[in-house]
Amino acid sequence: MIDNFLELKGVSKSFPGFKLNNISLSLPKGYIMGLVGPNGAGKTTTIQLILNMLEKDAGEILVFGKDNVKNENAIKQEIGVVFDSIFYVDSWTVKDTEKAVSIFYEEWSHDVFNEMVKRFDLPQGKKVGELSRGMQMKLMLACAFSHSAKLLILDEPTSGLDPVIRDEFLEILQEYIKDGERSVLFSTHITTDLERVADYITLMNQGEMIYSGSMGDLLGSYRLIKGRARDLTAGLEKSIVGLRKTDMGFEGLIGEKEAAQYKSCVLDAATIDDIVICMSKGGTKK
Amino acid sequence: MNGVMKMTKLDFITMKSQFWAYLSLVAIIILFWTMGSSVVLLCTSGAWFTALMAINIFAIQEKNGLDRLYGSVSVKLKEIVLGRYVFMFLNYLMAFFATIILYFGVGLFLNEILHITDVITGFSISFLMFSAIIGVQMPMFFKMGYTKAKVWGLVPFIAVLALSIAIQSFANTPLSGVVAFMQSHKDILIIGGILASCIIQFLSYQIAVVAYRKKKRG
Repeated sequence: MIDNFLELKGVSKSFPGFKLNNISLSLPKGYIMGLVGPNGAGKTTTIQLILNMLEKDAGEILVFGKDNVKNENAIKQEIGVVFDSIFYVDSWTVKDTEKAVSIFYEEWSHDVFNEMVKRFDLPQGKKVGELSRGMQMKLMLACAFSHSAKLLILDEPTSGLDPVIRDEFLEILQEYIKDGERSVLFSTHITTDLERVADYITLMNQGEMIYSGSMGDLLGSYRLIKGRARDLTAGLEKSIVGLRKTDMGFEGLIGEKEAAQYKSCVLDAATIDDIVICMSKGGTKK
Repeated sequence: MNGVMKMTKLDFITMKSQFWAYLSLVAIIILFWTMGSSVVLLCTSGAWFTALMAINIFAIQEKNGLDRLYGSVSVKLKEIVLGRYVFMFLNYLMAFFATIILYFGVGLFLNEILHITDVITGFSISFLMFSAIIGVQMPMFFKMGYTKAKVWGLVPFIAVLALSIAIQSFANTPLSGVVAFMQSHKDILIIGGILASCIIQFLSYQIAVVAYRKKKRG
């Protein structure tokens, strides 16, 4: 039995001016993993490597326990993909889209597609280019769900969506994994979405992996520290990640264990946003 | 259905909205026919215009980010490329048969006889010209994408036009002997044309695979 639906081991890829360096992560069956980082962190490159749309320079990528290059065709039968923008021809209708995409899947279900179209209120006769951003995303999801995909790979699917549609989208994801047989890899820079649905998280910045593991562990291992300028000792300054000094004082991220020593400062629970921002500014504090 | 046929089918669905433009081909054939063009000339003109229209598939691919669709479905890189070559070839075949049927149909009314040798010669020469055009274009479009390659992509069209004008001006030169020889040995022209077309298509496909793979490597 496969425990991890997705595993990356020391994956690297170089381009002129950018290097994705030594990325390792594991996504167990039945869970949602968020891939988080600022623009240019390497999230899309990582997804393209998983899909073998780019060739990796080093490392190993296993999907459902199989090498993603050697077993590309078999693996892709069980993967559903949603990108940040639609990748169907804008003159296709919803019907044409089904006709075009269904060619590639052995387990395509016309009934499931129709059910999804009804559920998402997608107008069958409307052209892809005439659909709203939210509707386009739903069409990509309808296609991803119609071939019994076990792993959903979503690249910034919620960017540009209004809060109501985003909320609906997150509900759909939670419903999708509830039987424990499917997983989702979800890249985003809207971290509030992840706090609602993700069980695991991988933080990336400038091609480097900062953290990969459980969301609870990450949130539990950092505190947001704030204090007056006079409280900022040399020792504390060294302990803070992403230190920001103002006229009033300072703030930054500190390890949970070290935080206990600084009782004169204000310590708050850190959000994913706090962690991403501080780590982007200040690198990793081991 | 294998990956190649899947890709070819996808290409036809992709070009669905453009098929009305192919009707203009009928108008072009009729126009050339009324100007007294031979069946060989009609076939080559049809092939030239078909190449011009069918290459639009790369524009649609680029505009709609279809590389991401190809990358997300279970199809190999070689199948994507070969599927596109099959799509282009089927476009050519449709144009060829449309030309012949049209020529035959109109000829019935005017009591003109369509000779099978002319049809086969028309196929051979037009296929050679079509292969030469797309054989140069396809690797460029796979490597650079439509926007970057579109200016260079016009070169084979212009080259073919220039060559056809040049052949007509061979009349009083030593090369007129070659043209005359070809006209009197149609069997060699037919076999040579088809053979050369196949070689061009094969080489072009190999180069296109390498070019597309390089693009994928980033």
